Amino acid sequence: MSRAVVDVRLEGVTKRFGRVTAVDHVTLHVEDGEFVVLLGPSGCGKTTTLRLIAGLERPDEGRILFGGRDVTRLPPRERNISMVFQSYAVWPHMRVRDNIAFPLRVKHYPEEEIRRRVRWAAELLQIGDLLDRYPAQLSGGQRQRVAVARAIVVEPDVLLMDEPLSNLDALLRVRMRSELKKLQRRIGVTTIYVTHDQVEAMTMGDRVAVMNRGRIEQVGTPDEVYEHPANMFVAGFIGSPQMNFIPARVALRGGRPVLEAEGFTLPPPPGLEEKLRGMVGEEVVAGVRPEHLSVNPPGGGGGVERLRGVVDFVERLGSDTILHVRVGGHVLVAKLPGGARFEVGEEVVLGVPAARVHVFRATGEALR
Amino acid sequence: MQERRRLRGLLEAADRVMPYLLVGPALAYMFFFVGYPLVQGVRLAFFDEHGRFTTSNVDYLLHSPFSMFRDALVYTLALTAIVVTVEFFLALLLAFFFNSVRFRGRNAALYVVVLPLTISDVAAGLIWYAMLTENGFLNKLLLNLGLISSPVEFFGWQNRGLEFLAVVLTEIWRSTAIVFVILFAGLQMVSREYLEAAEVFGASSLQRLRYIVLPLLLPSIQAALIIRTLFALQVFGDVWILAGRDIPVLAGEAYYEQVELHHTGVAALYALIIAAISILLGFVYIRVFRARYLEAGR
Amino acid sequence: MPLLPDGPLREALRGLLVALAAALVVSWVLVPIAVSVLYAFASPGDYYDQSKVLPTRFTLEHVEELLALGAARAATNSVVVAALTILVSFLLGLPAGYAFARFVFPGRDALKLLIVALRMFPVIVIAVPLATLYIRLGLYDTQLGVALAHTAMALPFVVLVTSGIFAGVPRELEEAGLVFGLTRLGVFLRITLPLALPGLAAAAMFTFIMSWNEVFIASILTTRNRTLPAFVLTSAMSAPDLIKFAAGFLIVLPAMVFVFVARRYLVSMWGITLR
Repeated sequence: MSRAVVDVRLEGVTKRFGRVTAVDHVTLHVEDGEFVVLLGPSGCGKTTTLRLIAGLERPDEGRILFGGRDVTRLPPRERNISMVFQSYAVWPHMRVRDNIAFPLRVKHYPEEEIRRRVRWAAELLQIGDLLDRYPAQLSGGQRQRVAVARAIVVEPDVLLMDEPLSNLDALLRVRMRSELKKLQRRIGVTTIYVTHDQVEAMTMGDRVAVMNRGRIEQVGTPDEVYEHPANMFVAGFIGSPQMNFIPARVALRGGRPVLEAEGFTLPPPPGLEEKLRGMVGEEVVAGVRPEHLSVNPPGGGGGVERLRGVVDFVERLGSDTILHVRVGGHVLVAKLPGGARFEVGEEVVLGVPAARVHVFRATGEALR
Repeated sequence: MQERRRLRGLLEAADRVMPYLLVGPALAYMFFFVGYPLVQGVRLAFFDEHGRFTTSNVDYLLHSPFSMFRDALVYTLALTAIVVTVEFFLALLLAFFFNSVRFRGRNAALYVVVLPLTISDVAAGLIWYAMLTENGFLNKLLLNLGLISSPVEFFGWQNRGLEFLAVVLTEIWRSTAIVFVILFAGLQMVSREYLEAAEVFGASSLQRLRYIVLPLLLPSIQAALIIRTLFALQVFGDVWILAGRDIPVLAGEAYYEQVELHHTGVAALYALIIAAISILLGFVYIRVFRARYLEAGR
Repeated sequence: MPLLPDGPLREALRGLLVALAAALVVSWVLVPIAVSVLYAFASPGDYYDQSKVLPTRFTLEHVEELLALGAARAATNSVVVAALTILVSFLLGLPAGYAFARFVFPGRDALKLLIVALRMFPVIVIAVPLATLYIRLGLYDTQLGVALAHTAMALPFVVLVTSGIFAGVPRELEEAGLVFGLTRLGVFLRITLPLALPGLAAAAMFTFIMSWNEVFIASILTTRNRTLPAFVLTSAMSAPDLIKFAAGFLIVLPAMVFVFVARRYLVSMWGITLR
């Protein structure tokens, strides 16, 4: 099957509802065949953005282009898209077979072709034996597969998915994550996927667009948004448990810049020393991820600051142990492998590798 | 200890029996007030004072020169057919209009449209009498606009055609709201996402209507048609006010035979005939408008 | 509308059409009512004057005459009958409605279906046999007799509507009451009932209107203590036009009042019962 080359471009797309700006001058480019995830908390505008791309809402400003074609004013059915809705929207009065066949019937495909494609899609989603059932007779997970099968049966230019996994139980969700990703790889359709779950975003997306309050905070590969977050919001949203944020002041010690927090000092990442020299006296926020902190590290190693603290709280997850440690005037969270054993009140030493420290201006923007 | 266990057992038994205790009285009441008259009605219609089976009431209906049964049957069925059909399409249009169009004052308009639900059929007859009589609104309006030179006579035996029209008009005015309310409620229950999904996958407005909306509306359509038809078969008050016995209808004849002529058996027979036609049509509707997908999930 | 290009012109035209359609629908309902009410108070001179489409001079004499003719007494009968109907039908129907809403018991679906079927059953069938029975029991031509018959008509409606209303009260609120020490009855009286009150009040009003408007059964079961519609049907029919209009106004009046008070529940109440 030869497919058209379709990339998706959003240029300054804005959508207002009364006085609320749900989508604020969003500009995004999704490459042909790419799997891009719109990630953010509820109310950030990701679903509205998706609906704008689908044509279910009209933007107040900006343009939307599919493969260079301006679709901004086109209704959904002229955009050659498919969509998987959060609650699946599988029509209850049609059998599974007819649900999947609908996009083809509506476009007047020949009967034989319809039958072939329906079978192909059903088999891909492993629902071949449910074709004659009604949705009321299916479980949530099965209905979701019907929704996905229906979405791929016609060859859309763009595939849109609105939190398709959020109504599934945890186990099923994990399984469907990989299935959906493999499916997309196999079919190669340009896909835009909305979720509030950062694990989904990181495992499925070729690139992730983190959104907040109608704006895109950062677009990048999962590695990029993890290792080089553009601001505090992205840094705090990606990664669980959340990154440790420590308000600090830039000071000079022995001629070298350090970050002075309440009761302790943090080393700056080597790449930022020059910049920090010019910022002495400024208030900043230092950030370090729990998984990068070590507890009671052996011997003197360069580049790792040692901080003395007292264990405040212990969370045992089996696979991990989360340690809350009071250091100076702050509680820092560290993530350790599951076997670690600690008691509340125990004195420990936290190791903070300088290279893993992030520095954010008071405005939230990351220092690069 | 024994007593506590016994008490708990009693309480649990009470809990299980409770719903039946709560529903029982209502059910018993209905059973008596519908069941008994039904049986009595059959007795009055088909048995004489001595308890012997008789078809004299049936004979009266079919053969007596005083009986207007045949006319009443024809008029009732014709009225029902016309009125239900027109109202159905009108109500459907209204339901779509109110469901999909947003405009200021929509709620106020909704209340107004639903207003006739609360108006008695007698009052409706009187209202349209005021509209259509010689000195009524319509005639005066047309006269003063110069469209007619003398008033149109809607009433009176010689104008039976127009009388029938007046009755039809009044019925439609009065009870479109009944059909509308049911269809509107059903339409509102069609989830917006079903329609969005259809639109995304390529369906035009007409296709969405045909493949998504109407099938999902089927249970409401069935309910609306049954209710409206059954009510229409019992039409009485407005016909009596506007046309008296010029336009005989089954319920009107039942009233006349009972109250004016004291033919209790005949009146009971009329009522039974109405009931029989209602049940028959009810079954037909249920068969024709079955929604298979609703039965599937059980 | 696919014929016009996009933009403010199309929006304006669409808005105009919608407004026109809405106005048409609204006047279709309101004009006849307004006309008949105006005529009920029209001075005879204006009414019989062919050049005056709508009266400008008004009088209360038609209503007064009608009331004196017996409508006052008939209206009183109607009120008593309706009140009794509400009393009995709620007494029997409210518990049943609550049972359907809160309990799951074998036969529940079947019983509910039965009630829905009874709702649609032509109730006029019961009128004639009831008349015979009432004569024997001494209930003929009494307010109570008519009220009992009206209750049979209203009971399915009351059961279904109250069932819907109670179902709308969140179960958790009742359960919280149980947890914090109330008995089942206490929960019903102190939590469920107060929350259900607005809906129940609306249901009572509609029951009132149903009884107030009913004419066939009332006509058959009474001769001298007629309800208002029955009275109008029999006595007022030979009266002059203006008296007829006054009669129409009297019958419609309480319905208008109630509808305005309970308008929020209109659509949902009728929608519920018939599904």
